[in-house]
Amino acid sequence: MLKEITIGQFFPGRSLLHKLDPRTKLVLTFVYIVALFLVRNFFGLFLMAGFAGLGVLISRIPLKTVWKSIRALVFIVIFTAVLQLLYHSDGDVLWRPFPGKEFAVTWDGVYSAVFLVLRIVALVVMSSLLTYTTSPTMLTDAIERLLSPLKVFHVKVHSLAMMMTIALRFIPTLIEELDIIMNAQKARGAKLDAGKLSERLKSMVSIFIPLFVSAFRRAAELAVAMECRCYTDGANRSRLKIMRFSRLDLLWLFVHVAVVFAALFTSFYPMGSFFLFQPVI
Amino acid sequence: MAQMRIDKISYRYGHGTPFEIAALRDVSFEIGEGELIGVIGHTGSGKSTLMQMLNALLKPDSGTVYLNGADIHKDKTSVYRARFQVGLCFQYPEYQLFGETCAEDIAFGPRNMGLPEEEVKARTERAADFVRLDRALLQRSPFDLSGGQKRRCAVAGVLAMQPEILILDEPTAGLDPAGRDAMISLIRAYRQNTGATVIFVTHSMEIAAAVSERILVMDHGTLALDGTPAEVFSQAELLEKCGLAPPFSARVLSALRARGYDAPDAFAPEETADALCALLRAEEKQTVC
Repeated sequence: MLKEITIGQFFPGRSLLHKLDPRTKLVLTFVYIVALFLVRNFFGLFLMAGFAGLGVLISRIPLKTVWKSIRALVFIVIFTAVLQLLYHSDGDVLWRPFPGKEFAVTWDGVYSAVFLVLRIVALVVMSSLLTYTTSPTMLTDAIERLLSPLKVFHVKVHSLAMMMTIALRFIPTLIEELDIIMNAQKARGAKLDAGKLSERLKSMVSIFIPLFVSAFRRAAELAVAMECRCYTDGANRSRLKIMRFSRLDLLWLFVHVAVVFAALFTSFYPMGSFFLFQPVI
Repeated sequence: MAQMRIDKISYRYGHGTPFEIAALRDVSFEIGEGELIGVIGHTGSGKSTLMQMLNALLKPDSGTVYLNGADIHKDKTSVYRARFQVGLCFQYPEYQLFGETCAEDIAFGPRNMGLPEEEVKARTERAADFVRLDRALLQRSPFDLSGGQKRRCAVAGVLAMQPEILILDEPTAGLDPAGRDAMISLIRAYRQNTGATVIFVTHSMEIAAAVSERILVMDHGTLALDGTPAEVFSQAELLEKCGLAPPFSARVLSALRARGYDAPDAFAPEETADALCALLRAEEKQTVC
């Protein structure tokens, strides 16, 4: 049951997006998200959303998988859409649900609802593309490299990255362990999902104590193992996978920047067509 | 009527994900009251999954598990009851200890059964005595105990529920020879004293051969072999296909047989030793004559 949870949701593959330097992907995703919040018209938004769709096609991630990550946010999406419909009173009236009251659903409301929903969806798709095509280890590696200028200020970038890598690495292990412990206590009649609150709390204790004990045990064992291999922090460590900024990266960077630029350009120099319509946000 | 009947159960992990695997495929067998069954199979053959089916921790995707004639997944109460009737002791149970004191930990199961406090206390002490855990240790934290003591404390936690069917998943894993022998005699003693059915999973062919009266061999989620140790270990080829081999002592005897000696079928190391002695003596006599 718990085994089905995947953190980092990496989806192994050999597509262009998988091959890119994780640093490129990380920075570009960041740029994309910022641009997504700056875009102010439908033309720009469609361009950006379409680009995210193109990314999904290139990555060859099954649409079903992508849909799963959107589905997780369905509540927020609906909530946003409804709020937008409720809070816009300008523009042509579309529908008055309560006769005699001021309240009305207007075209403006519909536009901004669609706009915001599309923005959220594009955001989710693009950021999950990053985690689908990049393994958590590569991601932390990229973060380490990108943060390395902070070393000047004596920030222990390498230690931070190492901690992140270890934490990510042990999430599945601990989940597996949790699963076993839960089953073991259930086998002794622990009531995890039913019964009085006091009983359930007691059962929780029977699960979390062994889990913590085992997490500490693992941490101690790992520390000893790392020390035995003469692990030292930071300086002069070589790596198995060297990140290279290749021609592919340059190509992707170029396309990406062009799309973002086009989207932003039309946002700030509106030309007045329907697609360039600026919803009131 | 069989105490337990497993009827064509199948189970898959990770339904609908790219990591989907079939853990059990169409497994059927019956368990009679008071049987002593060893389950063997290489890693990932579905042994542990099967064990979790028997006390309703997992629900088969298809097929039914009957306990005393009733479907154990009939409703919530039947599932809950099955947990107490079929005691399951997981692999490395010492990692599941949590109580402030050993007594607390052992009493967890009986308390969940809703027994009166005196009964819980009596059962706790009886279980501790049974696994030879010093009563003085009962008031200590389980985390202060040695590895072997922890294991025994955890097993006592399952025994205290006095299950009709006791299942142990690799009870001897990671124990030293003395601890292993103690665990085996404990299993035997529990069965003798209570008449309970005992099922245990093991990786050791020697233990399976020496202890069990019936052996189930799992392979890729199917039940490959089911029979007495003699029946199972005589199928050397099939065992090899399942990634297993008969116990070393049995292989010695079958190698001797292959060379024309009149060696009997024996699986326990002691029996093999006896058989070898008898053979050597016969040989000696022949050379003397």
